[in-house]
Amino acid sequence: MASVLIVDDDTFLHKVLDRILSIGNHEVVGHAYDGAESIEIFSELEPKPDIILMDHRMPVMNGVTATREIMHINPDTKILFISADETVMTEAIEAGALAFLTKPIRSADLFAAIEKYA
Amino acid sequence: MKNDDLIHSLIEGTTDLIQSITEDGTIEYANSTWLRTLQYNEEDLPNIKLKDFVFPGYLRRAEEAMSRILKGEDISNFASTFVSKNGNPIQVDGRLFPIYKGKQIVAAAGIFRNINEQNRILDELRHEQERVEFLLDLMTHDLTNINQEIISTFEVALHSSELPDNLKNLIQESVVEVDRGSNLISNVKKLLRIAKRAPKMFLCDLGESLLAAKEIVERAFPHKVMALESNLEPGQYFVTADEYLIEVFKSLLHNSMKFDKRDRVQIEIDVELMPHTPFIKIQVKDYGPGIVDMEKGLIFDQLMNRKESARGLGLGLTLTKHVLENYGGYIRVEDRVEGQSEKGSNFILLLRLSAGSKDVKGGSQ
Repeated sequence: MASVLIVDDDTFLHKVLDRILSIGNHEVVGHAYDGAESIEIFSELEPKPDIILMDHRMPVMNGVTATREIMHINPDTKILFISADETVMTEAIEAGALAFLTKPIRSADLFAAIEKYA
Repeated sequence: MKNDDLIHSLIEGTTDLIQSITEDGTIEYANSTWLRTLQYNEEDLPNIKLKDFVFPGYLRRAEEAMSRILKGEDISNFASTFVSKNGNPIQVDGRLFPIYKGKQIVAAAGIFRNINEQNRILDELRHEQERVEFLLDLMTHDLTNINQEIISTFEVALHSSELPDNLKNLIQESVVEVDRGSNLISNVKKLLRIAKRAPKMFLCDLGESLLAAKEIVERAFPHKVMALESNLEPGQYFVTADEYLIEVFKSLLHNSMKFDKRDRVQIEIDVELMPHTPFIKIQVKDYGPGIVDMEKGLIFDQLMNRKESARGLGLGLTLTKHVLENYGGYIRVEDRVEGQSEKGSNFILLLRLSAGSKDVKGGSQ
């Protein structure tokens, strides 16, 4: 079981990911709706989540910038990108993400990635 | 008509701007189009210098060009911006060349086209293209997110033990349909990227690419078996390509799996070198419903042929063709059994082999 922080500006996706992750016996410990909020919530969370699921295209601050900031705060953080923006794949990995999962992603692939990296 | 009159009529009748400038920078001749475009009279000509009609930022280049012409050079595709008497900029494009009197250069002639309108249209096109790309990007991004929500919701529903079997089947079929939509969006995005970017090629292993594509396609059809027979091994043949090479195999294998309704889908891949050419020939044969002759030429250009064919509107084959053309390759489709299209298709790919392939003269072993 992994503890997960979901970062995505799509509120409905938070709901379905909540359910999907609970089916996979994972626990959602936080929700953030833009990059800046993810930094704030990540800083407050204790213990830190095992995995952050990070979108890229979000208001206020994008996922790549948020990843850089979070990795700066805690270099051991495990961040998985889930995004439709394949063009930022290299940037995301360079910023410190462990993997880039292209939307739409199936639950089996999501669980496999969490198990691999958490 | 005398030759001189004929030449004069042609020069005065053309829509091009024609000028002749002496060594001291004075205009000795300008045709009526030149005068009309730059809003001068013939009487103005003796007093006009280069600096008066060349836009300030272009003056140094114009002076350099003048000095080259007066040394005997001929300059084609010379682009500059003139300025009219009233201060309107006029973008021009043309040719400069020396005028001789005997063996001596006496002036620099120029024939220019006014490309203001052409540039305005180009700017408008560029602006419209950017707008379309922006909207397309926004639309594909949001549609992908919507598809993610739908697929995830269906998956949550499929985990419910209370769901009746008939509804479960319906939802499973719907998941396949959403996947189809996602695949179309993904292919549109890839086509856009291929068209926009500068190619970044590297050495790719054909066998590895086939295996990677097979794995991805098998995951998309969890209830079917792909019975693939192939004489293509990893480490055997290499081509100069990019990350989209996998898309080529993916698209062909995906189509075979999709259109062959049997649970066990037989696919044969036969690879052979083409003697005395730089090409390797790859034949991908399936036992599906095949493609009728009248559709064979259309399936690779779904952007132009929007009529839904037996192969659907997934853009996969359109993407395949674009990718292969980027590599200097080709694709065509034939019947697996000649003249019997209903017995399956044979997609024939020609790819340029790179040095480094085994079995290639001069390649590393």
